[in-house]
Amino acid sequence: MRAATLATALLLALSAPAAANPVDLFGFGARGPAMGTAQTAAAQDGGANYYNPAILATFPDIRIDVGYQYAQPTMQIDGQSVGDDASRGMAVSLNVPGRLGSVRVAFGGALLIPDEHISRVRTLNSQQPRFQMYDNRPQRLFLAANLAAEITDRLFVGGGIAYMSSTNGGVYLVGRIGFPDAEDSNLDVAMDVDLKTVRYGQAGLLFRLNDWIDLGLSYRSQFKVTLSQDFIVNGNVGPANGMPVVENGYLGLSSKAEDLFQPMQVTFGADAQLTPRLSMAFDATFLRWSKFTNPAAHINLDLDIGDFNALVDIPPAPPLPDPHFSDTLSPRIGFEYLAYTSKKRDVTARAGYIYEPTPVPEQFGETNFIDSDKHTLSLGGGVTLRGFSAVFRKPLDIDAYVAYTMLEARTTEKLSPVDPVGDYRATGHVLAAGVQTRWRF
Amino acid sequence: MREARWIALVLVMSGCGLGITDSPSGGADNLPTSGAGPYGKPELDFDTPADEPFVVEDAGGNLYDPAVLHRDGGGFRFWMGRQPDNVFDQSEIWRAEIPAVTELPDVPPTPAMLPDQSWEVGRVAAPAVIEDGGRLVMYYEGGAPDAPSIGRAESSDGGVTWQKEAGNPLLADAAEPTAVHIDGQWYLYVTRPGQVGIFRATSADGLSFDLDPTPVIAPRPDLPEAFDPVAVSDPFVIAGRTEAGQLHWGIFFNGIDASGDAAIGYAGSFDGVAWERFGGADPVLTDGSPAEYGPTAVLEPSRGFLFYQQIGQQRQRIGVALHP
Repeated sequence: MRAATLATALLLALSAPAAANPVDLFGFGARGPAMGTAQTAAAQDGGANYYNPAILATFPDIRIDVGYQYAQPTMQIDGQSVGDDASRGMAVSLNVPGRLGSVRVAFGGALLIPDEHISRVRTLNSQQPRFQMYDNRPQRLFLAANLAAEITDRLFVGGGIAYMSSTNGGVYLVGRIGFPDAEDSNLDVAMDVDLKTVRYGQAGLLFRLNDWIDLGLSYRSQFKVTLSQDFIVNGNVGPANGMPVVENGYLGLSSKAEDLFQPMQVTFGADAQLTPRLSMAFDATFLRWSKFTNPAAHINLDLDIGDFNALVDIPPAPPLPDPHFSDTLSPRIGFEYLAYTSKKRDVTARAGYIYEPTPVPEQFGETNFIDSDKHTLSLGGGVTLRGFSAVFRKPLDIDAYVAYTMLEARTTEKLSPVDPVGDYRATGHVLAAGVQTRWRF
Repeated sequence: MREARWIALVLVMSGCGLGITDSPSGGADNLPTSGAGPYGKPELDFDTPADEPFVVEDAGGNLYDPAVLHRDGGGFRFWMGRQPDNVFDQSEIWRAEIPAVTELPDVPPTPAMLPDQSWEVGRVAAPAVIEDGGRLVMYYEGGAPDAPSIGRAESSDGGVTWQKEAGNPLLADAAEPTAVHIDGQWYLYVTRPGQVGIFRATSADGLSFDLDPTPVIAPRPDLPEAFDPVAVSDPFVIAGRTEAGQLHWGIFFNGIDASGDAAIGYAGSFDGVAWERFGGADPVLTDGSPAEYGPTAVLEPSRGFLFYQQIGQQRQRIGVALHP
């Protein structure tokens, strides 16, 4: 009963709302990406903080994972590279098991610190071509904290929150605007910038069906970052010594944009120990891309210049075109094979495959969100060392992987003969690699 | 001990993420463009030898109606009409080359084709040059300004010398030609003396043309705020298959408004007959006075160069505007 109460409380704590991130694209750690990121029921490392927090409750010891991940997208339009940035950074995770009364619990945390961009948000107009999945998405921090509990010896639950920040800011100018000589202005400047924490939830279940099959279910909530920027000028317009031409004039420019969209995701996963040496993992992820909103900035301009208002016509900002993304279902499969085992070390080989259908519809109109179906092949391996040190008495794992993603070529045909971009053909590939060490205490 | 060294190496590799870099954000290189516009003139840069936005000029005469092609190895090749100062009924076709729009010509303006046929009446002008296989083909305007005709010439030495067609003139009562050769068909777009609009002529052999009696691009008098309510002229057409396999046509041209002001606009088409203006009522290059005329464009997948003639320092000179 206490376990059920704890589980309920834990799940209720996850109802926070939800950014695509480099982990969504390339996975976390080195074992998961080597297995096609099919880890919802198969994670055995700190990657559980992302793939399925419930698995954290199955770990018997304190674990610290330290690794480094690198991915270089090479996207091309009409055979020319658009010069995408690499996504690279240090991946660290922690898992601490314990007990709350009679309930076995575990606390976990994961952090991916990009080298270059803690977060990059740049709002482009809808017409500017961009590879939607590889523009801002890989350029952000991933930070998650989780709690997991063992409900029965076969059922585990877990969940937590991930953090990001949204930005609200403004520049405010108050005083006198010089006229006819603008350099004669006398304005006080105030700036206000808020980086507000945004939380989004994730949760998971793990069910041990029998001795050789585990089933997993994970949920990640939708998320997007909102950026609001204001620029306001308030004051009289006129010369320093004399009657103002405009009294209490006002110019307000506000920009609001939503970016780093992460779709709500539900993943079902299974992990089967097919033979004593070979295991197979499978995930199927539903991604609710239909909720994707246009990331372009919506700009409003407001002007009050008294008697001169009739001379200025500011049309209302046109609505942003709806991107009309579609929901997708992405299958992933991974294999792990114990190639060598001895008293001192194990050597493991891994492989995986991911198919990601694109949520992006044909771009025959004014928008140019570029994406296409993706195929990823991954390979990796790991070594578990036992008794290698008098200080570290528990095994040490060293994992590494390399993955290659191929974007199918996609041709865009425009309906308008005066489309400013015109027809184009897009293709691309991504090379990713990583290494990770796992320390047990 | 050996394993400890490996572990240390892995740790160092893991920690290399702490290395901070500071490169600018990428993902926006070589973005595709149709080249329609808008275009803007480069500012005068005192660090370059060119007199931006002008790229070609001649101290002894007016250069106008340029035709421009890429040059192998970089740069541009120009052919243009050239009138001596204060002479209005004579014209020659000259050529020049520049290594870049920020550089001075490395082949200064020099005569390329002179009026030596009787129908030309001492005047060859408004060249339209296209690459066709291993040769260059030029359509040009000749004859008296009030009774122009279209002639054709070919060059097998990169446009240095030209051999005129024996059957010239090919098309009477037509001026300001621009040409494309695509899918085995030749297309000329011309203006006609005494008539308003841009007309299309087609030919299977590039020699014998059928002229459509109605213009394919006409002024827009019902759109007074447009840049072209009174007249359209100086067409430059470009056509090709897109990456999607669509046949796409673009045309740059001059529009004249009720004040007599000229600006350069653009229209697009999928068949070369029905054209849609780009930018609604607006031109693609509007820089004010003095106006630009005689547009010709060189389009690349991710940028465009729009060349034109404009008066500067008392003479017509060839200038450039850039997109994006």
